[in-house]
This record gives sequence, C-alpha cells and structure tokens, in this order.
Amino acid sequence: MKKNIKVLIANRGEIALRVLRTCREMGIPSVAVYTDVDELALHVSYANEAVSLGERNSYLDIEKIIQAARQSGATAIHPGYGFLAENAEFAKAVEEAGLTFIGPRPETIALLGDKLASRQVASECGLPVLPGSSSPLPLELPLEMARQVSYPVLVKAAAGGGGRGIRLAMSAEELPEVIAAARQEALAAFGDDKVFLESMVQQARHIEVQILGDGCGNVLCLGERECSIQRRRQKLIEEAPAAGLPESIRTKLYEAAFRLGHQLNYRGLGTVEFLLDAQNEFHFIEVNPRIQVEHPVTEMVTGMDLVKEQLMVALGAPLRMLQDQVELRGAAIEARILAEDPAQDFLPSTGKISFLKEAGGPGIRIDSAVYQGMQVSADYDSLLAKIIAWGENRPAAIRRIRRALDEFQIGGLATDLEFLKQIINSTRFRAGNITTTYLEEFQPSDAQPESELERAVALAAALYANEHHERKFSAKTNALDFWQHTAWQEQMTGKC
Amino acid sequence: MTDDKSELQSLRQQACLGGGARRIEAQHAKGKATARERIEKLLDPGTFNEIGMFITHRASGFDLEKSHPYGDGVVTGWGKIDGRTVYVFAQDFTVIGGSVGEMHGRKIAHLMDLALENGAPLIGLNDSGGARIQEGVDALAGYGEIFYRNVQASGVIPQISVILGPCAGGAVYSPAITDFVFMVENTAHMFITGPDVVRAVTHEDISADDLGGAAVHSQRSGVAHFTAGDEDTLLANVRYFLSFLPSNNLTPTPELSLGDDPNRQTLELRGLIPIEPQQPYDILEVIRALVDGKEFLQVQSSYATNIVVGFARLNGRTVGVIANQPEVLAGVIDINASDKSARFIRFCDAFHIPLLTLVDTPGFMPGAEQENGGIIRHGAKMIYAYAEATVPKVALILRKAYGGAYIVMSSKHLGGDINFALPHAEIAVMGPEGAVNVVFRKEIESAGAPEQKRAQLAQLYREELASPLVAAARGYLDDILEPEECRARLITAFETLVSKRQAVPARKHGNIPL
Amino acid sequence: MSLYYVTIGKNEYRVDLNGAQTKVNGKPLEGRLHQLNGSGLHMLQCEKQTLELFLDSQEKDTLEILVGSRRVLAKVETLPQRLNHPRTEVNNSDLYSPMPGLIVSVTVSVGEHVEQGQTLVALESMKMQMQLRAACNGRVTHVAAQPGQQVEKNALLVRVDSES
Repeated sequence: MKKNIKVLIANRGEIALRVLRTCREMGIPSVAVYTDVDELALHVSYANEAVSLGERNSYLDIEKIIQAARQSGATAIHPGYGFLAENAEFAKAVEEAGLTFIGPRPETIALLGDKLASRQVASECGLPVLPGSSSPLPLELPLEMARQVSYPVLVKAAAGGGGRGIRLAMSAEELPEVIAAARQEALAAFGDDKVFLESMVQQARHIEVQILGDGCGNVLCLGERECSIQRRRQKLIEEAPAAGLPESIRTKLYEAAFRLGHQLNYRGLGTVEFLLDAQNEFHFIEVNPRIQVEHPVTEMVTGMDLVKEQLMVALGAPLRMLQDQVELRGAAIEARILAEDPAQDFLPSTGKISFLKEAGGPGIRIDSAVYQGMQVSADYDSLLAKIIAWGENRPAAIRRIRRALDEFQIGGLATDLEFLKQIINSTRFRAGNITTTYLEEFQPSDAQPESELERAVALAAALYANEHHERKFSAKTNALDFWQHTAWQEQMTGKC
Repeated sequence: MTDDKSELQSLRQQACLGGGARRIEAQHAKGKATARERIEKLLDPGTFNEIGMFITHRASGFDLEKSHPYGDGVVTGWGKIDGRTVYVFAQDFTVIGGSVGEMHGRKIAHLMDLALENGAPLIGLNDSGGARIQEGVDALAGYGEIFYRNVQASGVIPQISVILGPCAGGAVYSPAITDFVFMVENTAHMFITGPDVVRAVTHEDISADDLGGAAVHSQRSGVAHFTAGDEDTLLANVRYFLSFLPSNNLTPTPELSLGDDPNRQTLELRGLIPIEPQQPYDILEVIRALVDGKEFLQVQSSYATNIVVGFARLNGRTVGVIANQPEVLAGVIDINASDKSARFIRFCDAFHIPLLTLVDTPGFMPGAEQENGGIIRHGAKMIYAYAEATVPKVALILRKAYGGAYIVMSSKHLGGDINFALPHAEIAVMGPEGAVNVVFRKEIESAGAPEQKRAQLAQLYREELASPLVAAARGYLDDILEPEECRARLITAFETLVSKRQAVPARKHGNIPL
Repeated sequence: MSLYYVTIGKNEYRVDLNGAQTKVNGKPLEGRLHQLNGSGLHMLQCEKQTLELFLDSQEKDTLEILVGSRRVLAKVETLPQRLNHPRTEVNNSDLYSPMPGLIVSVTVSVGEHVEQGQTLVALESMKMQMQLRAACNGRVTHVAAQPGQQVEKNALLVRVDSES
C-alpha cells in the first residue's frame, strides 16, 4: 500500500463533497479545485487545501488540473463523474505526470469511450448486443442500405455516452438528415463526428450492473440498478434492485457483467448498462468507466462505501471481499432534485437559495452541496441534491422517499421537487411498471384546487404583507400655523 | 318601560332586525347586505354609535298606523374610519322598502346637522324605494330638508353618497349634490323616472340597468365617480378614498408616508413620453411614476377618459391631479372633459387640496356636435374653476399645449403658481402644420417643393416659436425640467406653496357658466 | 388598509384583515402569524391547524412561500394597487371610430383571434396617432376599415365577436 497519499478531486458540487467525505474518514489529506464561479462552494472549504483554477471552464482543463496537483503535492486524482472522468487523454496525462489516476486504466477508458468498440468487445464476450452498425457510418449512406434498416432507429455518436449524442430517425427518408445532424452535434460535443446505427428498443427498461475490479484479475458484482425514469435521456429517479426482475434474468445480467469485467481485467468502478425489452430480453448498451451519480442506492443496499473501494484499488490493494460476501439487502430509491422549472419545460432555473431545510430521519440520506444563501447559476449542471431512501423492501423505500420529499424544502428558485413527488405517487411507479418512455407520457399537473391549506396560506401571505407594509397612516393632522390659518380664512369670502 | 335590563335589550334587538328575518333573507338573496351590516363593513370595528334607533313615524292612513317600525327605515349615527370620525346614514330597505317619510327625512337631516356642526365627513348609504307615497307632502318635506343641508354642507365637509340599491325620482338629487357618488353594479340604480313610467309615457322598453345602472352613470352620464362589482369592495373603496380627504374645510388632509423618497429621480419618463408628437402614450403611467408609491386613485375613470382626474400623494400630502390623456381622442378637451375637471378642481379648492396639472393637449375638440353641445359654455367652466381656485397650483407641460387649451390647463395667466415644461414641449397658438399653412402660405405655394418647404418651416416653427424657451423667456414658465428631476421639483414646488396666501375679492359668489 | 388580494396559481383570495374576524373570500378564517427567525420562518396559528411556513418577499409584490414541500409564488395586492388598474366595462365588442380621422393602418384580419387591449386599428386625428384597441377577447368577423380611408365619428371599423 502506498503511503503519503494525497488526493485531488478534479470535480465540484455534490460528487466532490462525496469523495472528500470518504477521504476525511480514511484520514487521507484532500485537495479541492475550484473555478471563479465556485469560490464559495462547500467542497472548497471541506477539503484540507484548495487550489483556484480560474475561469469557469477550467474543470475541463487538463493542464491546469495537473498543475494544481503538482502545486499542492497531490499524489492521486479522483475525476468524479462528468468533466474529465471519461477522458482517456486525461487519465494518461495524470499517469504520465507520475500521479495515480483513481479509475480504470487509460486504455480501458479509451476503449469503452468508443461505443462502437465497446459493442465489439461485448459481443466478443458473448453479451447480447442490439442489431446495428459494426463500424462507423460512411459519409454517404446509400439509400438501399437505409431502407434495409428497421425503423425507428437510433443514430448514436461513437464518442458519446451517458444518454448524450443520440438521435432518432423514423424513416429511411429522414435518416440522412438525422445522421447529418447527429454528426454535427457529435463533433461539437465530443470532438469526433463518427456515428453508428443502433436498433431502438421499445418499452425498454434501463438496467445497469455495478462492477468493481482491482485490475489484478478480480471482479466483484455489486448488484443492479434500474434507471428507467428518465426525461430526455437524463436520469431522474433510480433504484436498487430493479423492481420485479425475474431472478433468472438477474443472474444472466450479473454473469454478463462479470464476463465483460474479466475480459477487460477491469480496474476500478464500472457500470455495465443494459436495456431490457418487453420480452425480458436484455441487450448490452455501454460501459461507464467511472463512479455514477446514482451510486448511493448501491451503497445503501450493499452497505459499502464505493468511493473507499475506488481509493483502495487505486492504492494497489486487491479486493478484500469475495463475491459471496456481497450481501444485497432491502431496496433503495434515489430522486434527483434539479434546478429546473417543470412549468417552463424544465428550463434551468437560477437564483439564490432563500431557504433550505433538508429531510432526515431513519433510512434517509441526502447527498448535496448546496446551502441556504447559495447562489445557483446555470454555469454547470442543474443537480442540487440527491435524496436517497432505504427500506426493507420497495414499498417501504417508497414510503420513506415520499416522506423525505414532503419534508424537503428549498426556496428561491424553481425545482422539480413537486414533479418528483407526482412521479413517486403515480400508480405505475408504485407498481414498478415503468419504462424509459414513461415520463414522455407523464403529465405534470400544476392545477391545484382551492383548499383549506391554500386559504390558510393566503391568510398568511396577507398577514405578512400587512406587517411589512410601508403605510404609516396618521389620523392626527399637523395643525395649521397662524399664517396658514389666516390664509385659509381670507380665502373664504365672508362665510365663517 | 321597566327598569329591567332585558326589556330595553329586546327592544334594541327588535330595532336591529329592521323589517324582520324574512326581509333580511330577501335582501341577502339579492346579494345585498342589510343597513347595519353595511355600516359595520364601512367603519372601524366597534366604533359605531347609533342615534335615533327608536324614532318612529307618526303618519296615519293607508294602514301606516298599524305598524311603527323602530328607526323608520334608516340607521343613523357616527363612527370612525381609520380613526377619524365620520357621520353615516344607511337606508334600511327591509323597513317599508327604505322609503323616505317625514321622520326618516328628519333623522337624516339631524345627522347632517351634527356632521356640519362637528366638521366631519358625511357618508350616505342609499338603498330606498323612494318617497313614502302614503305620507304625501310630509315625505317630500323629508327630502327637502336633506337637499337643503346637502347644499349648506357643500364645500364645508366632504359628502359621499354610496348607492347600494334603488335611488329614484327626486331622491337622486341628494347624491347629485354630494361630492362623490359610489355605485355598486347590478343592484344599484339611479334615475329620475323609472322604467315603468318610461314605458307608460314614451313606450320605450328599457331595463333598470340600461336606464340607470352603474355602467350608464360611470361611462355616459358622469353621475357616478366610482363603481365596483360587489358591496364589500365598494365600501372598502370608500374607506380608501377617505384617506386622501380632510375631515372638513378647516383641517389639512391627513399625511401618509409611503416610504417613497421625495428626491427619487424619474428616469422612466424619458422612455414613457415619446418625442414624436404623433405618438400616444398612457398618462396614467406618467402619473404613477411621479406620485408617491405609484398610488393614484382615479375619479370617474370611465367617463370623459380623454382627461384624467384623481387623488395622489406627493411627499405624503394629498394632491389633486388633472391630466390630459393622449391615448384617448389625442387628449383633446371636450364638453365632458371640461365638466369633469371643473367640478374636480372646485372640490379640491373647497378643501384646500393643491392641484397638479399635467398638460399634453392639442386643444379643444372641433366639430358641430361640440359646438351645438355648448363647448363654449363648458370649456369656460374649466377656465373659471382654475382661475377661481386659490389652492397651490403647479403645472407641468409634458408635450403639446396649443391655443386656448394652453391657457385653460392651469397656466400662469389663470393664477398658476409654478409652471414647468419638459424640453420637448410645444407651446403655441396652434400646431406647427396648421400654423405654417396660415402664416407661410405664400412661401409654401411659391416654393419649388412645397411639401419639403412646409416640413422645413414646421421644424423652424417648432424650434423658434413653439419652443418652451419662448414661454420661459417671458416668465410664463418658471423653469424647463429634465424628465428625471420632475418628481423632486414638483415636490419642492408644493412644499414652498404650502403657506400660500391669496386675497379674494369680496362678493357673495361669482357667476360660473353652468 | 387591511384588504388584500392574494393570487396563488389560478386561484384568487380576498383577505379582509379589518374587523374582529379575519375573512378569506368572505368566509371567516382566524389566524395569527408569528415570526420564528430572521430568515423568513413563520408559524401560522389557525383554529384547526398550525402551519410552519417560510415567507420571503420577491419583487413585484410577490411572496415566495414554502409550506410543507410545496413552493408557491403568491401575488399580494392591496386595494390601492388593485384600484390602480381600473376595470373597464365592455359594452360593445365591435370597434367604432371615436372621432373623425384617417385610418393609418389595420393590424388584424378576418378570422384572427384578438386579446383584450390588442391594437386593431391605428387612427390619425388631431395630428395624433391613436391605437384603437379591442375591448375584449374575441374573433374578428369583419374589417370595414382600410389604410388611407377617411372615417367619420362612430364609423364601424372592425367587428369582433366576443368570446365569453
């Protein structure tokens, strides 16, 4: 085990705080980095040291981050999720700088970053892969080829991932246009315009398996998560385990994930994503070579600290558990509280958090990096906080998260809190009958009928306004002085 | 009567029930409150002192002698609104239809005497079927006493009429004489002759609402100054309205601080008032920008909308505002606008309320309709009212001030104390286009390009003749103001005029054209 | 002035603080508001319930209120503020010329839906351009005016079928 480890977290927000918390527990000195926007962020003061990066895009600046590590004497860098977490170049640069990259090997990241290559590897491991391209699409797609494809079909960016860089084509006529648009988007977003086709699964469930490898040939499977509640391919609510999943399927999913993990001699945390179709057939989609936003639900059902596992692997320790020691207990549900306004088509909302009261009590965990008085801007993603609830079973977890959502109060800007409550309360969610298209059909209702509660709120509003009103009415009037009195008398012609 | 407390109590309860539970229910069913309920809504809680509860009629004949309801159909007394004493009468429709008989009239007359003696506003809540026919000339006497006192009190104490039910025949003259009339929609009606008689005599079939409802009187006849959709709102409006007025003509208006800085710069006026003279704008926004807390209580907001009058505060003190509305009829002054402003000016003058005039008018409305209607007489009222008024008068010319309208709108010549104008004001006998056509007719006709010449001359006219500098050079304007400083300058002007003394010639009264 | 108009979402409440009994939309509702801390936490003590609320002033007479997990933006207006915007009664949905003048422009066409206050016709008279506006929401059924046309007072300009 390496001694004298010092970890720099190349990230911000709740994940930075998450990693910092484990570092503190483990007694590992930590370094935070921050841009000008994040000067007053919680993760900056939580870490032992902090290094300023400058302008707001600096979380993506490989040079600056490595410089910050050198400057602070950090020996390892944790990339968090998003930003440079899946950037193979970054991983390589970190290692070339003599630092430890807390994550998979750069080659693995590069391989898994190419979604086409990932499909190839998965297929070679015997994982079911959706029908689609085996190579990037040529610049000119012949019409006969287009007609051979079954529609609707997805056009995906090879360098994409995490739900980004995906477009839908409904017909052969539409396909060239969609491909052109997808290429443009891919080039702008990922710097690589390679795209490929992939068959679309209707009524799909998004089910992913958490794996942990030590890079020395040992791989653990830490259970699955279901992330079917997505809005425009961004996850909103996740749970572990997947509701109502037949054991046989579960076993097959775990085996598939294992095979892939072993094949890659996987090092670090990884998530193998699958889509389950209406016939309960599963298909490989991609692997995310990093810690995920929704990792807490796995932590709740396994009782493990996944960040700790990442750090241990990075320190060169082999896995300390055997697969049969991994116990999955109960059910956990996570809901993401976002700074988005459902009433305005989920437009990002900004503002100062005027009031914050987080939920608490048994089985509730809040992962957030916001505080009352904090200024929320649109510079980075809109995640404000994650509410995670654990229960002995799914219904218990649902009751708990419903309670937590009722307790959670955040004011000063619009959030999706009400929307999340409506989803959790919906019949289909409670029945576990959800697919990735659920939210498309879901209508948030914003009309609230007049109720006793609302009347009381109206009364409170009026009482408050009355207190704060600037009117100072005085029934007493200033007496006229002698001059004025005479003036008035003069102006009354004769009648007194 | 015995010493027993309970006997008096039960008599009081009986009096309070008016015409009985059934009639009270009927009143409620129509969306109307009872007389006592209305008084309670109007006044500060627990401040009502009733007098005349046990007055009964002494008429006989036509079965009247069979019942002598206590109160005789009207509830009278005094109470407080926002801590200031007011005298109130509320006609009780549940008692003989709220009809006015000898004693009913006497009650109100006595109340009016008290109000006048003690210098407090008088508020009448009207809801009456009219004169009590059975009492004959005694009923008419009742009315007469009221009208006389309305006139005696006019200009001494503010008098407000609130019409909450029928008010027909001669009865309407009392509200007409009072200073302000409030009407509720749907249940209140005012007319000299009701629909039935109208139908019988002229065969014109018309509903009570179409003949004399709130819409008619607020939009067409100009009889009503304020309307509201329900009684509660209307009574709340009365309370709010009173906060601008003094209790009597020897007491200043109450001061109310709204926390608005008297030195606040009004930069927004630059954007609000377009420089191009043909572009309209809403004068209400200009008024709100200038006054305290953006609070402007408009009077007769649906009548003669080409002129705007109402109350506001400047640095805590009430001012009466008169302003042309460029958005309606280009802000011309016509018959109704003259009437509306003249009455308002005279009310303010009677109660020592200073006048703020905002000017942007192209003149008087031309046309046969106006001439036949007597615009000459009516326009003269406005001149008379302004010249007669001895209250502080401050005027601000925002844009146009042409011809007679320049003189009329509180100019220095009519006794304006302080007169301001904005830099782009145009003050002239007539507008540039019309003027150059008359004065430079030969030059334009003989020019190579007449249209260009006309435009050129119009521009010259604007700059040389109509510029506010000309009026300022003569002292007709005391200063030319930047839009930003208008509020501050108006406030300091009113502040210095607070001790204004002006002698008036001794006379019984002038002869205002009516 | 203790009369307030509170608008929450699409519901409007008239709160009368004058008098012995506070009323909401005419029905009595007792309540006392206590401030719990300096950052907006309050407690409303009603007869039947006690509510914990967070109240914060925003701009334009709006209050942000958090009660339970519900967040509402309530607009609170006083009577003077309400009176600042007088309601105009609608007699006729059709548009007539208020004075003789010249039609400068017609900005609507037959079949078009119009909102109350929307400009229908621009009229020039007395050397001023006036925007003549729709008295109510409705649909244009007939356009009688054309740009460049001289019109008399009370000439019919646009027919609007009101929507109510």
